[in-house]
Amino acid sequence: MGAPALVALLVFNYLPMAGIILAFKSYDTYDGVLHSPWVGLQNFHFLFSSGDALRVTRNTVVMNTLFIAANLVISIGLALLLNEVRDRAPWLSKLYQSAMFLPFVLSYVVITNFALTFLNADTGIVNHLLHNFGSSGVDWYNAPNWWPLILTVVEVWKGVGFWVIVYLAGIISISPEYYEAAAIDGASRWQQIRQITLPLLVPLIVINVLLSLSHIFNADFGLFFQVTQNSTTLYPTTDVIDTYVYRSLTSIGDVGMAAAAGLYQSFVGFVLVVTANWLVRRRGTDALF
Amino acid sequence: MTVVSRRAFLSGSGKVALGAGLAALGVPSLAACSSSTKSGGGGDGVVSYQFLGNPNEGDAAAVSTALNAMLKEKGKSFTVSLEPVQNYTQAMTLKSSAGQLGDMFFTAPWATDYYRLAAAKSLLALDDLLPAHAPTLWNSMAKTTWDAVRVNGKIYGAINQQRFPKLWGFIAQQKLVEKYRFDVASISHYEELEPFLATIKQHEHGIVPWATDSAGNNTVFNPELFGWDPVASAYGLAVRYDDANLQVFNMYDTPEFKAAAAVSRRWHEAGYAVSSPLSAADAAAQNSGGKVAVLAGQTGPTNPQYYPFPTVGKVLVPTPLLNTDGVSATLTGINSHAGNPEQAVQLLEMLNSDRDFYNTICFGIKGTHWVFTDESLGVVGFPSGQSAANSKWNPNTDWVFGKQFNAYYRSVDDAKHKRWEAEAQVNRTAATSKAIGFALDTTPIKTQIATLSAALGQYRPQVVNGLQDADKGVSSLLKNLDNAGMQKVLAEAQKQLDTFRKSGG
Amino acid sequence: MVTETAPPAKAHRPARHSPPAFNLRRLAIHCGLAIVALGFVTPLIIVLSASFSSESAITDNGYSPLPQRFSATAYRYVLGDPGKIVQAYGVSILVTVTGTIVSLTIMSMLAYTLSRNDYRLRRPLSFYVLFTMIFNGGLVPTYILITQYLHLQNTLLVLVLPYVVTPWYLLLLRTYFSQLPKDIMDAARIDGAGEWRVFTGIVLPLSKPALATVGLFVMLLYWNDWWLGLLYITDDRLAPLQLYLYRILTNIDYAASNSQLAGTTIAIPIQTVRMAVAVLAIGPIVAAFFFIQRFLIRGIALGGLKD
Repeated sequence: MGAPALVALLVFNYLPMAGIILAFKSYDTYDGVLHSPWVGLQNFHFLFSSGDALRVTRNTVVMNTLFIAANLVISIGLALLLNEVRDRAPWLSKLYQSAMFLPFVLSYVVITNFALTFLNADTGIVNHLLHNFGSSGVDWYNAPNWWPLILTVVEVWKGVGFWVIVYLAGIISISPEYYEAAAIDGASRWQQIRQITLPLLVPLIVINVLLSLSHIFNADFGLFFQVTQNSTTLYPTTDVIDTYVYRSLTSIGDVGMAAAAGLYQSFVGFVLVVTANWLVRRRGTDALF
Repeated sequence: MTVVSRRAFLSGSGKVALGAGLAALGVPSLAACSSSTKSGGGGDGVVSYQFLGNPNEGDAAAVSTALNAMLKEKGKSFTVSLEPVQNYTQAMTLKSSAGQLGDMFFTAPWATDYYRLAAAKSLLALDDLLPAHAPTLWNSMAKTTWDAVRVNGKIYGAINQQRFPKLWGFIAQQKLVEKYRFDVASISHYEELEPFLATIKQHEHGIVPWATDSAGNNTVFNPELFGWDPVASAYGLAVRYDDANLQVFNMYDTPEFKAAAAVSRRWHEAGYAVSSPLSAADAAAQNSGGKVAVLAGQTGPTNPQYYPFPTVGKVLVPTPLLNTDGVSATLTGINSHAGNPEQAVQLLEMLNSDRDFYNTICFGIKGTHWVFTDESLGVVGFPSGQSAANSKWNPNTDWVFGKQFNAYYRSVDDAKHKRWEAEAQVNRTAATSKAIGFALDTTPIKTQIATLSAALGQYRPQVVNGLQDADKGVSSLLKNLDNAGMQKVLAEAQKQLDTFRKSGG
Repeated sequence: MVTETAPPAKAHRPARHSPPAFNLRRLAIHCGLAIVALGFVTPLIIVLSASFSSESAITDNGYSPLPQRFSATAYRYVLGDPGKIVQAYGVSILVTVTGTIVSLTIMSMLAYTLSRNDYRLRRPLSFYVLFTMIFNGGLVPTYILITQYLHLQNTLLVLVLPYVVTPWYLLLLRTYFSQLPKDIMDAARIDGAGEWRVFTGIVLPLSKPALATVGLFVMLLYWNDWWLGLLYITDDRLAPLQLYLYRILTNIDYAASNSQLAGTTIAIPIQTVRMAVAVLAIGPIVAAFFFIQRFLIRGIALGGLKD
């Protein structure tokens, strides 16, 4: 029964993986993938040969961890709130959900423009508000310390609607009988949430976090490159592996070095997921595989 | 946390080098370009021609037909099939990896990596074919000019003749220039713009005196301003154009760069530029809306030009230079697997010598895509109801197809001032760099080139946009360039230059 | 967050089903959610209003929630060639509908197999799926495969097939299926139903919320994609909407940055056109979302789902 999907993965995902060997070759378009000369690990050197490697790796991991944590906490919080009002006001609850989900359909190109309307130092909405409170405003695109917060807000704003739906579906699928029994025992709503809802959501949370871990070394290029306007003063906090690799390789367009960077990111993600999966299995919870 | 990266599993690692967010590969060719053959695609008697495309090229098939009628009239036995390719560099990388390169295609060091294609023999050597089958083209340029595009002694690209020297300078809104009686001709250094910028700042509310963008393009610093030939401009390497020893240096480690950084810093602090530079696209939107007074950049030898508002410009380069960088900027190459290279070279000859033929590819079909607005001056415009927004053939890139000096004019001002003649004159009188014909082979220093590109991308824009204290900014830039391997790159470049010099250049 | 300020009323039925008619706690929650929802929608309203503003108003005053100097110039620019945009909508709708149906079908078939604890290959096959999420071959090999070996360029199939299985969504479905009550399925099997009957007769009907959710995401994936079109479609008649709009944007960016060459003397409405393009691109999918959401909420009633 699963055959069609397995075949589709084989053709469109596994067959091109033969190209991973490019990471170890000096790719020459004329010679093609197979006949280009081998160069060992030389393509990986540029990733580690400058002092920036540590910084971009740290930024990537820290920002992704912030995103995962913020999305998790906020989406579960919102899903719980929605669940509270779902019975009595289904129409309103639906409206809230739709509103939260809407940004999910937007591209970062569009969101870049939003960010600019809010953060532009001279004409932006935020600085206008700050002026009203007597502050002189902030030159946002030259203020690196604010950007972990700004990017987290943008990321949550864009993506949290997805997770709200996922977790709300999870909460709804919990049998009402648990709550009925708890209510008879006199448990408050807060106790019910802590002792029934959250524990029963754990498998879903574990799987989502595991899946997110696999991409902790891959930053969303649109977010980090476009939303920041690629402002170089922000690099101390916003330069991530993907933007660094992009900057390194646009002028030479070396296919082999790009493949090496991608493989490195995949490999770390792979190790993280397999390790986390192993830990989760040992604890006896549902794991990925 | 990406919910699902739409293209992650498709593009993944490849997307990084091939443009990532920008990696939009558009291949809107209407002709039969999917016939994927190693022999170049055109088939017998058809020369397939790929070039840098833009979205205004919906009528490629109709223009091909018009060109073919002209070829037939001239008694040629072949036809041409036009294949405009969008996002050229990335698309052509994919096409060459999949054996889909056309018989003939636009190439340059900055698009499709001319040197790599030449070294790999993907391009055909044209040394014998050009004099035999394209004599007008071959004789239209001096031998030294042709030498600029040699790779390992052979010519792999036909030069699309245009103005070769880079004429850095500035352009200013004509309206403002006249209003404040600004004497553009009196300016010979960027610093002298300061009083005008101050005037604009003071009197023109809502107009930014000085244009900048976040990538640090078009600033007050360019190597040609000081008589330097940028032998590898992307990595900051230059030699003096008249230095017989070909001593290479880091152009950012110079008093000239420090002085330029100080000017930028002063202007930033005086508020002549926006406090946070916009991205290139947003800056272009703002500029074309007329919200800026003065822009740095290359400017033509004649005035006024249009941006789209009328502008007056001044060239600040004291000695225009003929160098590899300028001459090799626009080439047409022939696929080494082309079915019939002689026919392709004959097509090159038509493009570079037959004015009607060349202008048909540049402007389209007369009456359909363009009309003469002034036939005696040779000025063309859109037919009524058409514009750049809806034209079906408006490549607007004469330099892609051949000798630009054969093109019709787009503005009456250009025609009146005989812009093409003025530009051809610049070529004739330019000083030839001692390093002409030299190109850096980056293969032995790939790692350093990658880290150097990253460091330049990070630290250069802040300095040239004046976002940092000039002294501190420059020394931090230099320190980071050294960390990224600048010394090794300089040493390798010097080694290659010495070899080049000994072999007689 | 939720507090204990208003404990559920003591009543003879469970609290959850009969809160008092007026309740301060619920009102507070509504207020909180309404503010959050407004925060999510405001930028979209700004986009909509910007798309109907005049370009000069945006340049002068910045963006605002209400259109300034109302103008439909941007839409006239984008919709300049109505035949083409209709065609592009057609391609996108066809690809999205076909893709979503095929993708949901084959993903849920594999997800069901993987959800069964008694399936021997459960772990290795789950790993097989997950692995593709992390590793990939990169652009160049994929391009060669699709154009040189599968010859899918310039077909509608190339817009559907590469996205037909998304590992993440497949794993979401698997998780959902594995939480369905086993006794109903076992009962059906005892009654002599085959696996196919169990899948179509029990699993799928019980999984409407998950199918609706994943279906929506798959739909978004197909609808929003321009990447496949850019890579593999050169025939204008097969260009999906996003690719068509993308080309308009490239065109306008190009015209803006080369206006000196273009010889135009009119400033191009680049900012408002960007916004109009955004509105046109998301309009249908937002409408579809409202429709599906209704279905999603209704499906959540989940008749037979009790332990």
